[in-house]
Amino acid sequence: MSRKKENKIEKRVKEKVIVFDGAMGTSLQKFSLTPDDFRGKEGCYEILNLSRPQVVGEVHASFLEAGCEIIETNTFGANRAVLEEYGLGDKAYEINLAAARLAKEVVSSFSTASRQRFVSGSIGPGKKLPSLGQIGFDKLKDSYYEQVSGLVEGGVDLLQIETAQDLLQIKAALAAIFRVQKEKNQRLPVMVTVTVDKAGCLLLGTDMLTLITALSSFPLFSLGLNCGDGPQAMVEALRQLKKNSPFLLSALPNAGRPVLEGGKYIYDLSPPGLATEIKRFVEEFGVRLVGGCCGTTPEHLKAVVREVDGLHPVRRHYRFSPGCASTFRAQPFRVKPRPLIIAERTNVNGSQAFRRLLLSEKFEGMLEVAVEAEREGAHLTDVALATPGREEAADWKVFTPKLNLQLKIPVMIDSSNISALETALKNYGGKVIINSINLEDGGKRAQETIDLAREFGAAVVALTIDENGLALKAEEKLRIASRLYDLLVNKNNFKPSDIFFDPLTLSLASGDHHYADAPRETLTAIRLLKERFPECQTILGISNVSYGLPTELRPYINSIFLSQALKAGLDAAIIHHSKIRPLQKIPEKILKLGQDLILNHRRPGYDPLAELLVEKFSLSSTTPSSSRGNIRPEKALVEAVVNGESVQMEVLIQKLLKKYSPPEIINNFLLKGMDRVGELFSQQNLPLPFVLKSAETVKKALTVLKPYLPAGSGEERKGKIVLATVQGDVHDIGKNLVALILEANGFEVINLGINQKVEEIIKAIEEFRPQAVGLSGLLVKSCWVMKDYLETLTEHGFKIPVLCGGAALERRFVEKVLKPAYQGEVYYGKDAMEALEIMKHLTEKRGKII
Amino acid sequence: MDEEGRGQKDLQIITSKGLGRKANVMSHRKALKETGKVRRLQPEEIPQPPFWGKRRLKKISPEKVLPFLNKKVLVCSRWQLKEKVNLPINSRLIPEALLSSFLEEARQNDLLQFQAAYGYFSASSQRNKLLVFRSEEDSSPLVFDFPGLKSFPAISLADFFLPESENQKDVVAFSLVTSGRKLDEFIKDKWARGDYADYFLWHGFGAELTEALAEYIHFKIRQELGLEAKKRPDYAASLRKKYRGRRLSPGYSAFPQLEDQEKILELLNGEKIGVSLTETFQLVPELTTTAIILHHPDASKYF
Repeated sequence: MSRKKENKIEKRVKEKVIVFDGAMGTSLQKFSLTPDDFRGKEGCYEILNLSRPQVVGEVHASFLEAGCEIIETNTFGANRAVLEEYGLGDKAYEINLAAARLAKEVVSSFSTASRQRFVSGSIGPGKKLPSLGQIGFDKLKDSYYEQVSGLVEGGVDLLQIETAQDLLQIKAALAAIFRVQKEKNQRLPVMVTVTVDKAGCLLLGTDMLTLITALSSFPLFSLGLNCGDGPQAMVEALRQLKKNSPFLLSALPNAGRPVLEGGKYIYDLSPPGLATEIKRFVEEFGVRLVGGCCGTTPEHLKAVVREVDGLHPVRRHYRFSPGCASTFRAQPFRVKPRPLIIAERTNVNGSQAFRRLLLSEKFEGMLEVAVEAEREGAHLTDVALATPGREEAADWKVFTPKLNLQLKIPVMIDSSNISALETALKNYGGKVIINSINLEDGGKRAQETIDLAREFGAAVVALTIDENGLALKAEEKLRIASRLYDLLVNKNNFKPSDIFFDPLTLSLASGDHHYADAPRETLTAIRLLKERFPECQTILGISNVSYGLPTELRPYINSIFLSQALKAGLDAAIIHHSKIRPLQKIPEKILKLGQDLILNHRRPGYDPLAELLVEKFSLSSTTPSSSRGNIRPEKALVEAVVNGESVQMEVLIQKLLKKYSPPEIINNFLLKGMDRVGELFSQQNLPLPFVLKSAETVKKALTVLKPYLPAGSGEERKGKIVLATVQGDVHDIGKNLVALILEANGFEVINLGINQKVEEIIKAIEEFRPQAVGLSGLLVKSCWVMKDYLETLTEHGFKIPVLCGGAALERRFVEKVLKPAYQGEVYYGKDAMEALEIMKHLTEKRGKII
Repeated sequence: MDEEGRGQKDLQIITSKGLGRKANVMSHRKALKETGKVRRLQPEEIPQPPFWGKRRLKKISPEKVLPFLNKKVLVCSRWQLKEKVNLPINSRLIPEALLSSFLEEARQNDLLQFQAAYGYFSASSQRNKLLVFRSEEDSSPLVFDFPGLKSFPAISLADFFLPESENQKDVVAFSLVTSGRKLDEFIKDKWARGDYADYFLWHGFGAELTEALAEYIHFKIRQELGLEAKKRPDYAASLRKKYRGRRLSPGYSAFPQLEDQEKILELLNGEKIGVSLTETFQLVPELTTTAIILHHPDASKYF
């Protein structure tokens, strides 16, 4: 990759450890500033650049006197999104320009020929996280653009995205910086420092390896840490960075842990204490850029300068594997054993089920498909949403945030629509692979896609298609790949490791003898590509090869083709990998015919395709059938209940009905799943909404089973309860949740509804003969109504157990007031799960009803 | 709409409307230990409202209401999720993300149709009764009956108003807020479709939004009565009920009579913002709440 001329700082950091300054805010607090100084915008330290430049200048000077080499502009919160809160939105550019000029001015009076000092433009995170939808990417980027324009115009030597907590926020800032650099045709070093928690992760759970990978395609000067709970709390993250990061390390910790005292934060680390820790950072972790953050005074920095002054930068050995990333996980491109598995089911063209979910706008269901692929062990999932009659970009806008926050594996964005791609990229914090570019139009669209990939730090899949269409011969494929390589690497400074060449394959089923050689040529092309471009990856959509063949045959042909492609050197495969069979499990005859078909070993009198079509009849009984891969449907159903997933329900139940009776399915799988849910809940591992999701799933399963249940099979249930909200109370959410949970656990519920008189309840007891009655009420006065009801039930001679529950009801009230009012047993059902326990207890005690 | 769905005990203290009864009675006992009586305010301490009678707000911007949303109660108590963001590895429901997506969905479908009615009326107490005058010359004032606490000190809400014997009348405010029919139906539809978990989450969201709306109107009332020092709301203080006076809804402890809803609706003309009562005095739409608002500084410590 061609590097442009080195900046002075980039040169300087090779010779020595560079010391940044300390806390601006902490230092400013020492001046007695009046509301006038803040122009009435108290708390907005950035306004001081305009109102009290001499004070800000004094802080800068104090750190330069302490010996710091780089000072940061007082612009941490100086972007429009933050300044708007003070009604200063329109001053964003002016403040940044003034702050940068001011810092430059102070620096120039300290710089000498032998020792230059520099200014770093501080870019804080703002207060809203784009990954959580609190602010849009465009708004954030525009806001940073204005800030960066001001800083660069003011002459800063370096740009510093600091205290970052959200990958998407970092990307918005980087996009803004690159736009300014392009417009001004000026390149400045850019550094990113993030803030981590004790576990060494960003706010949303991004660990350091993921962070490194997500930013790996950006030309960063340094990647490091700042702020946080002091140097100690940075150690774990630094260790990760040291081992894995290809970027220079930086660390600008707080002066220890912030402690709130008398309404102010104070920091517990003394100047020598901080200096010792930082020295350790340099020596042990190879940190090259150091400094302080909150709570660090000129005294702290003086001590730091003294400690690190004579230190030689330490050489660091790191292992960086090129890859992509989600918000939570990094995925190297090269895996052992090969291939990198890219799931194909989240593709509207590959999966009818996924397409139907999109057409009915069931985005949650679509996410479940992706999660399913993740669970089956895919490394990535290829997502394609382009559907006639729908606006692709709009669908990405809804779906990408879900992928961003809820899917652990990274995604491959499969789209040729520029605005759809852009929308997806703006909503995804990790590093994606874009699928794909080609030279069909000579490269115009490819260039647009590459621009996007550069802006968002993505990798790309490059198809061997040019103006003449899809190349069939291996040499042709290689020639087009070379053109693509030239466009990407030489013209656009793309990293070779971020390229996936796809030599494409055609279906064996076409019957056209022109194409009979196509799979073999593809295999040859993989070999040639691996030789010519060892740094790049190769990729193939495996299933294409069997498109149009009978369903029974496809998994076998795909498996055979994949194994041949792997032998040729294939790195990544887009496949439904749970349907891939190991070769030793493929019947010998099929294996031989398949290999001959793929390699086109036809000869007069021998057509492997024709023989395969005959052979398929022997397969029907052994064909892999489970849609959940190797998981048996029995286990899959239990898991679906535990995970609260209903998408596969219909299929699973249909399958199980071949082996089991409906009551068996209910008792052995559905209720078993709910038992597990109950256990998880009582161990406090499962919040209530998840329990409801599971109950919802069971109810859906019961709906599917209903037609198969013999009439009058209510007796199969574990027990029966009559539920009612008492008179004068119309609240039913609590009672309905109880009903839902009980039903999902195999109880029959007679839900009388709200505002029920005691007479209605008595009637129901006599008619349905339940094992218990449940009374519910939300209001305080409903508690007293329950007492009246219990007295009435006693008068009528009932002894049936009664469960009472409701928001206003307390255990003490049940003990002291309700129990004495009734001759039978009264139970306090604090919530639906407790009611379930009571019902289980009651029915077990009395023996099974069945 | 009323309070429901409780979480941990400590949360009850910060929720509104009587949930914090036990804790507050404790502090109240300390404060009123000496006398067992509520301090009678001096005439100059009685605030002057900017107008008498009712006023209606037909379209309240969500921007004004949302900052009053008590996220902690929503997440911990209504949703029964932990407030601390769990790694999404373990949990597919990140509270913050859930809230953002709900707000977005609510915005897109124009679900947040906040409306309110509130008003100021002259009032005076008569033992445990509060007489509320519709106008200057109202000869048959509305009467609210407030029971006294059963334990010492046996005071009632009425004790926080000047008694009839005083020359001056006191002032009481009432509020009626609703998140509207559209949101109500949207939520009920979730149940009807069998999306129970979604229903549970949306219901909690709707209930807490309505609570936020009530909080906003209460702030506005304090401001109009000159009980707020600053022009911008201090949201954190509002959520912790750190302000002068108290807001209470019918149906709970000190204000138990649901029938009183009818009186509040009469005073504020509920139909004009589409609110009605069922025969059992439940508010329709469900996401609606009414309240009496006391200005007495010691009322904050009471109930």
